[in-house]
Amino acid sequence: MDKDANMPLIGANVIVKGTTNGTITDLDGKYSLSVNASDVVTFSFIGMEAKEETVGERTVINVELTSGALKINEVVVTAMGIERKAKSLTYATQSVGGDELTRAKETNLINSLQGKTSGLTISPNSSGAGGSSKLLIRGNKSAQGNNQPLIVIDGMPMSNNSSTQLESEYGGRDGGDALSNLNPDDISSMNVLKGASAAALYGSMAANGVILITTKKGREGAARVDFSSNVTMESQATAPSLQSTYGATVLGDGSLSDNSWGDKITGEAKGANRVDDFFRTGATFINSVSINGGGEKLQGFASYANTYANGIVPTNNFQRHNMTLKETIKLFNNKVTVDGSLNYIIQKGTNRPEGGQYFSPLTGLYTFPANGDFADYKNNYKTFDAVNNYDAQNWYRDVNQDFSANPYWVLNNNKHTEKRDRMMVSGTVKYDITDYLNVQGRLNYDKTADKYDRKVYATTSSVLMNGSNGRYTVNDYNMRQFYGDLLANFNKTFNEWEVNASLGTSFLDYSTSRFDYDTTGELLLPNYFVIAADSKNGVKNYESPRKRLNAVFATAQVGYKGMIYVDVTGRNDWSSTLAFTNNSSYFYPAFGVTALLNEMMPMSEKVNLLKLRGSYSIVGNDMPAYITNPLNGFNNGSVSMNNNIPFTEMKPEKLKSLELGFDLGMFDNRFNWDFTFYKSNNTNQYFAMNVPTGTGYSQYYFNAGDIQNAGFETSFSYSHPITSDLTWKGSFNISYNDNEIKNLDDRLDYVNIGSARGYDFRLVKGGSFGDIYAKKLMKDENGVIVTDNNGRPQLSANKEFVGNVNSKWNLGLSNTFNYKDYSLYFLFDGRIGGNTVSATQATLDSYGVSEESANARDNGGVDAGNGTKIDAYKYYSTVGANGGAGDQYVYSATNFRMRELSLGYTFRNLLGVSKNLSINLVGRNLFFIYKDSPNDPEMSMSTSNGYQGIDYFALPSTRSFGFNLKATF
Amino acid sequence: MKTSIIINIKRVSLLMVSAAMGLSSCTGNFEELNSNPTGLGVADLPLSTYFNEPQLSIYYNQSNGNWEYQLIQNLNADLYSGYLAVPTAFNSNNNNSLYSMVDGWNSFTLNYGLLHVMKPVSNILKSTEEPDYIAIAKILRVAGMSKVTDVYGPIPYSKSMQGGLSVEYDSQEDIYKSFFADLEESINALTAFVDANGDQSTRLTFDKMCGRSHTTWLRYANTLRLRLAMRVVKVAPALAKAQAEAAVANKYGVLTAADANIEVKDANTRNPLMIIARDYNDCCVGASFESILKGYNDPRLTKMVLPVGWKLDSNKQQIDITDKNGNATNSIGEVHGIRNGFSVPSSAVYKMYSIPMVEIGTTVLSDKYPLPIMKVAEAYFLRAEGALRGWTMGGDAESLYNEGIRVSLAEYGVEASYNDYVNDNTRMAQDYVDPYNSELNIAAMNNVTVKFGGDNETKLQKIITQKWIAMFPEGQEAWSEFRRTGYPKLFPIVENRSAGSVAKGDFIKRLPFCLDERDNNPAGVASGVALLGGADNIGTRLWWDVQKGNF
Repeated sequence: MDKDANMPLIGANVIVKGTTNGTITDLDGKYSLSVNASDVVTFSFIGMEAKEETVGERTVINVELTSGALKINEVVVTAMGIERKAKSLTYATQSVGGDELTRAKETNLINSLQGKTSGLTISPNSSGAGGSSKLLIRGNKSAQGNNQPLIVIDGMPMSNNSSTQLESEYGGRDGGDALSNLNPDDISSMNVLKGASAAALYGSMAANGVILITTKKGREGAARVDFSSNVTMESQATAPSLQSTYGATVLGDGSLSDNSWGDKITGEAKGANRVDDFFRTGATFINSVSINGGGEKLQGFASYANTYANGIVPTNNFQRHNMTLKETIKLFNNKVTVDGSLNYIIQKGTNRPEGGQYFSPLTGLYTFPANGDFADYKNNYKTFDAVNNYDAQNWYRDVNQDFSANPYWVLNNNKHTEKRDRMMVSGTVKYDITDYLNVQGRLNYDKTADKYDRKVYATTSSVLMNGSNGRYTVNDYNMRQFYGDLLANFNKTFNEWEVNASLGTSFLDYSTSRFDYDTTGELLLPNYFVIAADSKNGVKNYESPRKRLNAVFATAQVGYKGMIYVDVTGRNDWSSTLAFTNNSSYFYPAFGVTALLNEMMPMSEKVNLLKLRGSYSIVGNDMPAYITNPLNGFNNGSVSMNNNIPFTEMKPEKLKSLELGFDLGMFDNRFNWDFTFYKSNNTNQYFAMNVPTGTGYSQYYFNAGDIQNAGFETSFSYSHPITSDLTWKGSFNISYNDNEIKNLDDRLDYVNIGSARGYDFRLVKGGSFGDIYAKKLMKDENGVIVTDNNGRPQLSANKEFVGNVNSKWNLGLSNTFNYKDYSLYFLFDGRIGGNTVSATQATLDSYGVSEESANARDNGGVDAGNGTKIDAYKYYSTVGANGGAGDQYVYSATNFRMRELSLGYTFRNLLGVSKNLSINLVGRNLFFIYKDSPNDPEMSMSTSNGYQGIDYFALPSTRSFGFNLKATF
Repeated sequence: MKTSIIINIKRVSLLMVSAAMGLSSCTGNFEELNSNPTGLGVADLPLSTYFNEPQLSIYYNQSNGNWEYQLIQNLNADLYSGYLAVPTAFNSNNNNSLYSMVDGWNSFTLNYGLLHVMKPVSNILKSTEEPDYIAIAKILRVAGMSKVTDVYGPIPYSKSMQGGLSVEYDSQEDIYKSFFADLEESINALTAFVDANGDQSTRLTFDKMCGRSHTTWLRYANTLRLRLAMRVVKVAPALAKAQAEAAVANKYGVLTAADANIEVKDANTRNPLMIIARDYNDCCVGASFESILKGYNDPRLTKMVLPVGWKLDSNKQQIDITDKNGNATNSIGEVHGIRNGFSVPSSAVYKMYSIPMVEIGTTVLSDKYPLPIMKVAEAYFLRAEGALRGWTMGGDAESLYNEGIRVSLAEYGVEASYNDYVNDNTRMAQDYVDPYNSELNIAAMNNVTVKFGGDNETKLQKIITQKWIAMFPEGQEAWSEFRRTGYPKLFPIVENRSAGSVAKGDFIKRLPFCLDERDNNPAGVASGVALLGGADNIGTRLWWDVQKGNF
């Protein structure tokens, strides 16, 4: 019986342990088997905890199996692939089953986890299908270094770097990270190791936590085929509020002025519906099939998934093929297990939305005047130039500036494409020397080849091209990571003492090579996009950071009577990025204790688990390659002197973290509550500081600072059978993180980690990560706006604090109802606190296309606060300008939304015993219950540290709905 | 059982330790791994590479980008000199042109000067003992940094290039004195060198400016000394006279008609002003320039400036200026400039006005053109002013003045008009008329003729006016001389958004200390403000810009 669902378990394996004598349960969950009295029968089912029963004198043995959240004796996979009992863990983890990722699929699988794990915040980039997402566990810790957790697949770390991310308001693109490439159907479970203590075995790479992914393997039993198909439609979930009352001034020759500060529109406002006209309904099709099966000695798994997505921006499309093959072989009387896996991913995208104002279709679209004939510019975005024999851009304003162009021209004649080819090969050999001692070796090779190109046709803005025949940009990016480790595991119980220990060594070799080409001269012929056709040499850049990390680590866990467990871990790293200093080797320890109170003292039998845990760890982090050995480069035929040097000898970063918490399980584990409090301090951070150019340098590197994150995470879940057919399960998670920059350095007042459109992202002592600074609108002591003698509002002289882009509270609430074969699932999530900046709104205001600017004009001006009004044009052109009153465009990031909804029906055994077909209607990001900002506060333009929380003509977020079909053959 | 555990553990640990040792010894090649394979260590660089940077940074285009030049010079000095004006409504017209200073623009002049002129020169001075290389390096430093100090006033100079976290400023007086000292040393060293060896072009393979000739470098240094001497004539007249006379008296003298203009010629570099004017369309000729040259019927005008009609539409038709009602004004073929400092309408109604043509010869709109550093004509005009002041300049003011005009006309290939031009005593600057918006019309202001004569003040105005015309389009020097002398009389800006720093009708005196310095070097800026002798804003005069008469 399936205990949670209170239903017969069909197809469960019933096997006499140690033999091949077994069977599977039938449609009623019944089985029969010939056994001996001394036999131990094992009952197991995928996704559930196995149970063993000794036959003894019984002729009928009924068993209930349980599944889902961590159970008491369940074994979980922890760092390095080491298995431990869930109850003995001294740190906070949260496990998510693979079905959470496949209920309502997204093209980037990690986005399916939004709202489902406390402490993990996921911010997708606004770059549509194929885009990266920024993952953050327990707040930002490192100013310049990486803040994202390590992704580990089957025990081996995977690099999640992306080739490039946006670094300014002008342009830059999301190169796509590595996690988004994976196929969610290949994943059997994900375990989030939230703190550094959990991750200490991975060393510096895992200072920000670890997401452990365990993939599906072959299993013993008849071959089984799983097929799933996911079809969803996407539409815009947010839109700028545009006006259609005032248009652009009509000039003498009939042309329109650039902005919309002209007269009221008489007649039809042909440009009023331009945004709806432009975006189309997106569609995503994800189909996947997998087959697994095998015998006792040999088990295999193969899968293929095909993703095809059309984004809401016309001409944007994305395709991906994922292929996986895994084999497990047991040799030498099951003493040796060999696992091999091969993964091949091909991905291709066209016109994936990029951020910033260069080559953006949205800048021209949003600022187009409402009295312009948009349909005409849509249908005739180009006109044929017979003299030059090519198509020329047709737009309502002069195209030779860096902001606005005909959106259809940008999509068709500034087209960019990208391809990714990725291959991951890994192999594991495990030798069981005895039943308590085994040795395991693993190797993993991950190779990515990306290619990107953009063709800019003649008559695009001359500011964005060199010469007038067009421009051609090509980026070639190759990344290769080679990882290997060797581990010895010892697990033995001596009477009341359990000892689990591991000792190991690993190496990680990471290298990238990047070749960028961009025309700097004139192309030989207009629109002839060949690299050799550049009249000058073209900008060629090679960058190839390489890094090697060698490590030795050991961990030991000692348990007494299953009541108290003590954990000790130590790891020593040698990193090549700290060569040329005395600090290339660094050691860090971790300690933890857990006490199972329900085992130690008598408790009500309603309490299944009451566990207290605490741990402390010190983890280091190295720095980017080449920093300790600055060299000069070359540029444009001459040497370009290096202006950035280390100020003093560089040291590794050090993160100290403390964690305390408890886990409670009651009522047969129908009620679960876990709580963790943590505090972490990251010191010796690597900073690059701007220094006065008079020193002869422009930046110094040094170690300093102390960034503290403190907070808590907690989650509750409760499942309740309402009637025999209807069960309800609810779960709620909430986390709070307070980030404080306790210290930077005496030499610095603050560090600028990014700036865009008048907003600076600064780290200031006493402030917090994500603080933004901008000029403010000046008001006098009565709150009246101060104006100069031209009637223009005044701004503060310097940039002041205007908000912080990180929210302190994150929460999610999910409910599942199961009624017979129907199931209904819905998830709400939200954030409280924090701010988001809409530089888009500022620009729309300064152009006079926003509804706010129209309302001000209808009102006769903007209210100054004392009864007088400020002319709307003077107000918005000052306040909304680049470097204007930034504080007026900082909004609260508090928002709540219906994140996921799924309603489905399962046809049990439709295609055979335990072969089901389920159909679900799914929707994601369906609607906002509350939102204050014009844009979606959770999208961001880049995963880099400095450009979070600001929207500047980013793609609007989308809602999707559709259906999902899963079948097993 | 126990022993086998122990043996097994021992066996395994031994394996691990040896593996670990094997792996950790692999830190051996860490240094190689952590070195950028395409990087260049200091030992790899020959001296000539250090010379490349400052030469391309005096009139900046070292990186072959163009936006740097736009921010370093085009959006300040070039506008304030009256040569050029902007047809683009940058920042909703809250920009440098209307005296509303844009912080994000105004740090580049200082930063690029320090990093691309001071720094390579200090590297050269540390790595060689060759007297001619040291001399040339110092000349380059003076040439580049004199432009920077004339923008801000006090700047980090003598205490720069020494690392640390903050750099103290020097007063402009000290900086100029050290310029004179450096030039004197360089001139003496080069004089000795040329006396002993003559020109050694094989030693100057890196030279992009002076035709690989030591003698030319020497004359350039003398002329630079004369230029800087004249700059300080109001604040330190004795110093000015001594330095100027020493420059002219040097054995090899200053630049003369026999020399070519000092310009940077480099195959990889495009002229950034051309790109900004022609491609970005962010720069047009100024109304003052149009008024003065059209008034004189100056034969150089159509060689320096492109008439309306240079800009073509998508059908390759010439674009005409339209008036406010949208009617064509038939201005094609005429030269029309733009006033400085007015509220540019957001539509592109000013983009087709005349732009500077920096190519002399037949290829219009070319960007393959040298970067201007110093014109030979300037030397003559400096000497003419010195002679006017009674200094020993090797000639009298009038003949030097006329010779300067002749050299400049010859440069543009219109020497045939020389006689008519220098004897013209009737034509003066003409009124400015804006075809688009007649509210911007203004009556002529620089009311002097070409023919030399009148009282000293008038003579000075003529000299400076002709010098101003000859130096086009290098706006930095023109702006400095305008501040010093008040000539030529430029049209004031139309709308003054300086919030009181500069009075209405008056002109900007300097750029404030830049944002990067205020952010990163606050102690330095404080020392600079103390040395400035006034508030840190655009209305405070520089050291040499004394508020008194020219004589």
